[in-house]
Amino acid sequence: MAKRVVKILGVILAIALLTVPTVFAATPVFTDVIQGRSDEGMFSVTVGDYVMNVDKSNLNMSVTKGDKTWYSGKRFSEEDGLNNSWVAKLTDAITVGYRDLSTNISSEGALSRLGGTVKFTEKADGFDAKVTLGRIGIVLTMQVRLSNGKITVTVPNDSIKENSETVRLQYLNIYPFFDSSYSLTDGKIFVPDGSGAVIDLSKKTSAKQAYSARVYGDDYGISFSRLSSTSPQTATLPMFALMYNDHGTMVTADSGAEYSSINAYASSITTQYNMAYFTWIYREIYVKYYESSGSDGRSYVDFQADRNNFDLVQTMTLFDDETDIADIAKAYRSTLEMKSNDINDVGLKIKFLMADNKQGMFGREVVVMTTTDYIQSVAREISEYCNNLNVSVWGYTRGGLDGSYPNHFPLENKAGNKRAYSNMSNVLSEMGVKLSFTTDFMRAYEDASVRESNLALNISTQFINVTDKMSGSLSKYNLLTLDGIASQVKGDVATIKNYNATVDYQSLGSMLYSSYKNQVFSRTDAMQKLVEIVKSTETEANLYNPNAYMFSVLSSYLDAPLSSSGYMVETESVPMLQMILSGKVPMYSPAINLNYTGRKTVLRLIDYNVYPSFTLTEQDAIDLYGTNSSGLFTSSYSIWKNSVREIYNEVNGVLSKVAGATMQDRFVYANGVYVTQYSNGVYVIVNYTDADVSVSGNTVPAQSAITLTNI
Amino acid sequence: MKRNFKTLLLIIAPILVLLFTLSAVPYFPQSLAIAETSSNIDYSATVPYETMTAGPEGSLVTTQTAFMPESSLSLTGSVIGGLSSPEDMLVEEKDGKTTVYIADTGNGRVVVTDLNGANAVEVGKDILKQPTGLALNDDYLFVCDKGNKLIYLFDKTDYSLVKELDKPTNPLVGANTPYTPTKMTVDSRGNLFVVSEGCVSGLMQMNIDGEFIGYVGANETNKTLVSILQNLFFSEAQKNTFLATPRSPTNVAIDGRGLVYTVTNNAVSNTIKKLNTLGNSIMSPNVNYLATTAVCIDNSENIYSIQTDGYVTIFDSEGNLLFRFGGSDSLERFGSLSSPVAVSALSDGRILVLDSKYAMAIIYSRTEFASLVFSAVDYYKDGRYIDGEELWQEVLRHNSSFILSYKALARANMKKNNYGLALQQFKYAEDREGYSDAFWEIRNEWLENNLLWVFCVIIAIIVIVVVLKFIDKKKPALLAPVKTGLSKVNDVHVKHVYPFREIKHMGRFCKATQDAVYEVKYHNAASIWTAGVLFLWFIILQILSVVITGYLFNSSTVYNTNGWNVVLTTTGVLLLLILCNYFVSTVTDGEGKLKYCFISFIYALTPYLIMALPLAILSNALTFNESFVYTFLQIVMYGWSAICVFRAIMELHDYSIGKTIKNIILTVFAFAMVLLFFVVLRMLFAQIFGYFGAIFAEVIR
Repeated sequence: MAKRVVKILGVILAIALLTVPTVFAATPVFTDVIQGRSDEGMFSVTVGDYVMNVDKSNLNMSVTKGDKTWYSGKRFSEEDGLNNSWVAKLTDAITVGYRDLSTNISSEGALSRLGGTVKFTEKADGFDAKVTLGRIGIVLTMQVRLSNGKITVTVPNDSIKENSETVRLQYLNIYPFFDSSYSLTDGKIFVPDGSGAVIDLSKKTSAKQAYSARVYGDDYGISFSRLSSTSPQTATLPMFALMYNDHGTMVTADSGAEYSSINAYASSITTQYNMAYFTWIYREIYVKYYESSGSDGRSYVDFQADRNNFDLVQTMTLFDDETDIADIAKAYRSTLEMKSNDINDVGLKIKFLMADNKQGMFGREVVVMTTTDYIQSVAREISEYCNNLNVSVWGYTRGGLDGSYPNHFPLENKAGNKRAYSNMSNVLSEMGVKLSFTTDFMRAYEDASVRESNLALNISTQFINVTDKMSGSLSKYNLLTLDGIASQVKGDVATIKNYNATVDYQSLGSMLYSSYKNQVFSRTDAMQKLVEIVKSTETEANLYNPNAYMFSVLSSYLDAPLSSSGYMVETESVPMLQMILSGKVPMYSPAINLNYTGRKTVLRLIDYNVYPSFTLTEQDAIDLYGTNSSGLFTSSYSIWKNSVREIYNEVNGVLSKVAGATMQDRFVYANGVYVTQYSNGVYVIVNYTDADVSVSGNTVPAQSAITLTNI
Repeated sequence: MKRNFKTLLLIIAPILVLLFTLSAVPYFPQSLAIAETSSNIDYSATVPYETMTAGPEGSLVTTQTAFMPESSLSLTGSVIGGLSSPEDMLVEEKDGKTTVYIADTGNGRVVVTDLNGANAVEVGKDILKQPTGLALNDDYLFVCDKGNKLIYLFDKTDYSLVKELDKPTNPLVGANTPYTPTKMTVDSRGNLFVVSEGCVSGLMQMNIDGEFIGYVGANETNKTLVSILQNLFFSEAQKNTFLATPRSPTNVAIDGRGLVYTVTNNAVSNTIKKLNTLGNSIMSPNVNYLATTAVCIDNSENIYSIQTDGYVTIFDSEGNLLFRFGGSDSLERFGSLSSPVAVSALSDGRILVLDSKYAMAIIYSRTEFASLVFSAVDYYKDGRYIDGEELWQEVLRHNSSFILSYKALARANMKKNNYGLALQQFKYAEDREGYSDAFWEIRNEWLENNLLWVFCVIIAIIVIVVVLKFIDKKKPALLAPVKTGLSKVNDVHVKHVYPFREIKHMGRFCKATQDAVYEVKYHNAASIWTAGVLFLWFIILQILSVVITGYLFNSSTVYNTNGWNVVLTTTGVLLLLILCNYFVSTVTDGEGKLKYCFISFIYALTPYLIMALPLAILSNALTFNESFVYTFLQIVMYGWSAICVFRAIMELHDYSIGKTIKNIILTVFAFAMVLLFFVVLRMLFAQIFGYFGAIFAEVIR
C-alpha cells in the first residue's frame, strides 16, 4: 500500500517537474523586436488615413499615417540596458501592479511575464482583447478603437475579474511606452503640473526622480494629509503629451481620471527611454491607525479591500506634424465642457480680511481688521481707474475667520452688521463693483458646531484630519460629507445671495475625497455631486484652484498657478491652464502682496494673462500677530494703495487689448522674451531680461511688456 | 622594402591616431558635449520653500521670498563628467571673472570652472584621494585631503602641485593629537587655519611652510551640574576618563577683514563663532541652529550658514536673524536642498549652495525685497540709522512683523529725538534696553518741564503739615473738633464695624505677627469672610500685576497669559498649601484649626497684599537705571511676607523655630506628593477616556 502511494506521489512529482518549465516556456518569446513584430498573429485595420498594426499575442501596436508612425512600444537599441522584464513592459500593452495578500508583497509585471494569454476579436475600427493573466488569475477586456487621429482604449470595470483567492489588482499601466523616445532627443513631454510644465528631452537631466502626480490630488479619504503653502501644485488636468518635431501624442484620461496618476520620465531616470503614462489605480496601500484619533501613532500598513469601480478610458490623440503646447491646448480645449463667461475688462480682485481672533487673557478676543465702511471707501477709490473690480469679504463670521467653518453666519458685528453689509452691497453695486463672500464648505473646524453625521469618515473610519499649514499658521480640521456640504451650501448661499453677492469657494473645487461611513461615497460620486451642488446655487461660482471637472460651472479661477512646482526633471513652466481657459474664464493670481518678488511677478501676470489679486485689510498686519492669520504679513491697504494702482494699470495696459480673446500660440522669441498670439490678432511680448529687445523693429524695454498687431 | 615599410607606416599612423582620437570622444553627440548647466531659469514666483524671518517674541514669521533659485551648476554631461558627493566649494571673483572651485570628493579631484559650468578643469586628479576642504590665496589653491591626511598646495596659474603639508613636527602639537585635515582657510598674511578631525584643541594655526603656530578657537565643554560635581570630586585619573572633551570645530571660514569664523556642528550653543585676532569668540548669532555645516561671509559681513536639514540661514554682522529658507524636499523640486555642504556669496548678492547628494551647486539670486533688506542692514551696521530710515520703512511695508526694522527705526528715532515713537518701536522690537533708554529720555523731558510744579506741590504739602502741627501745638482748641470727629469715625467704623476692624488687623500682622495670630485664635480678631475677601484680592493682584506692571519689568503680556489659568493655579496652589500645612500639623502636634490656618496664612501675606499694587504702578515710572529700587522693594515685599508666614505658622501651631522649619519642609513635601498624585491620576483617566472613547467611536460609526 505504502509503496503504491510513494509510486503515485513519484508520478505526480515527475509530471509537475515536467510541466512547470513548459508553463514558463509558454510565455511569448520576442524575436526581432527592434524592427517591429513577428508577422505571425498580426492584425491590421485601416480607419481613414490611419493604419493600425497589432501583434495579437501581446497587443503591441503601431499606427501609421503616411510617413509617420506611432509605436506603442518600440525598442530603439538592443544596448538600451533593459532586462527581459523591462523589455516586456516596453512591448506589451499592459503592465499590472498586483498584491499578494498571503505575503503582503506588491509586484509588477507586463502581460507576457504574467502568463498572459489574449483572446483577440477583430473589429472594423480596432479590436477587443480579453486578457487572461494566468499567473495571477486576473482577467480583463481591453477595447481599442481607432478613429480619425485618435486611439481610444477602454477597460470596462465589469470586465475585470480577480479569480485568485490571494492576488488582488493594484494598478494598470496601459501602453506605458506609447510614443516614447530614446536617449537625448529633440522633443518635449508636457505634464499638467500647476500651470503646466515641459520636460525638454534634448537636455541631459540631473534629476533622479521622475515626475509623478495623482490627478486631482490625493484622496484624503485614504491618505493622511498635510497641506502647506509649499506643497507641490496639483495636476488639475487629466492629461499629458509627448511632443516631437515631426509628430506628437496627447494622452487624456476620459473616464476614471480621479483614479489615475501621471508619470513622466526623461532618459537616464530609470531607463534610457523618455516616456509618460497614466497609472490607473484600483487599490491603494494606506496607513491604518489602531486608535481612532491616531494620536498614539501606532499604525500598520493595510491594503484597500474593495476595488475602485470605474471604466478606464484612455485616449491617445495623434498629431502628425511638429507639436507644441499650443497644439495640445487647442486639442484639449475642444474636448472640455467649459462655462463661457464674458470678459470685457481686465479684472482686479481684492479680498478683505474682516476679522480674526486671538488668545486674550480671558478667552479669545476678536481682532477687527476691516470694516464695511472702509471697503466702500476703498472701492470708490479703485473704481476711478478700474472698471472690473471684484471685492471679496473673508473672515466675516462671528468671532472672525479662525474656527468658524463650515458655518459662515451670523456676521461678526464689530466689522459690520447685517445692515452695514446690505448698505455696502448697495453702494458697491451702484459703482459696478462685484461683491463676493469667501467660503469654505468642506472644512469643519473642531470648535465649529457641526453634526457629527455630516463629517466624512476615511477608510479607517476616522474623521478625515487635514493639517493645513498655509503661510506660517497651522490649522486642523475635518472634512464634511457631500450631504453635509450640500445642506451647508443651501443655507449659507441663500444668505449670501440676499446681499446680492456671489460665492468664492475655497477647497470645494480643489479637494476630492471619498468617505467610507456616515455617508459613503467615492471620488467619482464626489466629482459629480460637487458640480451639481455648485450648479444648484444658480449664482456665479469663483473657485480656488479648481480641478478640470469643475470647469463646466466656473465663473472665475482664483489663485491661478503662475508656474509649475519646479520639479528638477521639469525644464520650464508653461501656461497650459491659461491657454485652455483664456477667453472663457477670467483667472486671478494668488495674493500679490504676499508673493511679490519684484518686477517679474507683474510680468508673469501679463505673460500668462492672469489678473492681479490682493488680500488686504484696513488695519496694519502687525495686529494679526497671535491670530491664525499671522501669515498675512503685509496687508494694510494704505501701504499697498499705490502698488495696487500701479500693478493694475500696467497689467490693464497690455491685457485690455486681449480681454476676452483666446491664447492661440506661444513661442520664445529670444532667451527670456516670450510672445503670445491671441485670437484677435494681437501679440503680447514680454521681456523678462534686463536688456531692451527689438521685436520686428519695435523695442521692448527691459523688464516690460508690449502688444503688437503683427510680428 | 624599407621604403615600403615607411610608406605603410605613413598611411597607418594617421589612421591609428584617428581611431585613437575617435575612441576617446565621449559617448554623447558632439553638439551636446559642452557642459550642460541647467537652464532652469523660470521667471516664476513659486519656490518650494517658505522664507522666514525673526518675528515678535522670538518667533519665526513668514516673509516674502528672499532668494529664488536661478540656475544650477552640475557638470552633468560635460567632458570631465559630473560631480560625485562634492564636499566643499569656494568662489573667487577677480578681474570681472568668477571662478568656482569644487572639492569633488567622490571623484578624488578638484574641479575649477565658471558659473555656467564652462571651461571646466580637473585639478589633482591622480594625487588626491578624498579632498574635503579648500582654501585660496593669491598664489595657491589649498586642498585638505582627508584620505591622504595631507594638505596639498597647487599653483593657481597651472594647477601644478607645489607642496604637501604633513603633520607639523612641533612638540606643542602633541604626539597623540590626530592629524586629519578636513577643512581650512587662509588669511592674507599666509596663516593657515586647519580643522583637523578629532582635534579638540581647536583650529591648528600654521604658516605656509606647515610650521605650527598654535591652536585657536577651541570650544568649551558644557558646564552641567554633573560635570561641575565631577570636576570638584574626581581625581585627575578619573577626570581623564569621565570628563567630556570639548567638541572640535567642524568647519571654518574667513571674512574680508581676516576674522576667522568656526562652525561646530551640533554644538548645543554657539554653533557659529566669530573669532578675534587672538582667537577668542567675539560674536555668535542670536539664534542657534544645531546642524550647521558651513558658513560664508559676504562683503558686508553678513553671515550665510547652511544646515544639514537643507536650510540656508542668514544673519547680519551682529548676529540678528535676517532670513531662513530651504528645507529638504523628498520630491526633488528645484531650489530645495537635500544635503548642503558649502555656501558661497557673490558680490552681486547671489549665493551658491553646494549640495552633496544632488551633486550640484544651486545658484540663488536675491529678490527685490532681499536687496532692500540687505541695503538697509548695511546702513544699520554702520550706525547710519537716519540714512537707513527710509529703507527700513519700506521693509516694514513689505512685512509688518520684520522685527529688525523696528529696532533700526527706533534707533533712528532716538537720534532724531522722537522718543515717543522710538519707545513704541523698541517695544515691537522687544529691545528692553532701548526701551529703557527711550523711556529715560521721555521721563527726563517730562521732569524738566514739570519739575517746578513737582517741587511746588512737595513744598506746599510740607508747609501745610508744618503749619497744622504748629497750630495744633499753639492753639489745640482750633483743631479739636476735627480731631474728635476723626476719632469718632475711627470708633464707630473702624473699631466697631467688623470689616474695617478686621482689615485694620492686617497692620498687626505686619508689626507683631505672633500677637496678631494669637488674637485671631483666641479673640476672633479676623473672620473667615474678611480673609476670603483678602484671598480674592490676592488673586486679583495676580491679574493686575500682568496688566499694570511696566513693560521693562514685566515678562508676561496680556496675550501670552491665560487669565483663567492664573486664577485657577493661584487658587489651587494657595488652598492646597494651606490644606497640606493643616494636615501635616495635625499629625505633628500642631494646634491650628483649618479655619485659623486659612485666616492666618492669608493675613500673613499682608506685605504683599499692600505693596504689590503700588509697586506695579511704580514700575511704570522706572527705567533699568533705577531697577535696583524695584528689585529692593520686591525683596522687601516678598521677604517680609515670608517672615510673616513663618511667624504665623509658629504661633498658629505653637511650634519652636526648629519645629516650624520641619513643618514647612513637610508641608512642601506633602504638596509635591499631592501634585504628583493628581498628575498620575490625570494620566490614568486620560487613558481610560481614550480607551472607552475609541470603543464608543468604533461601535457608533
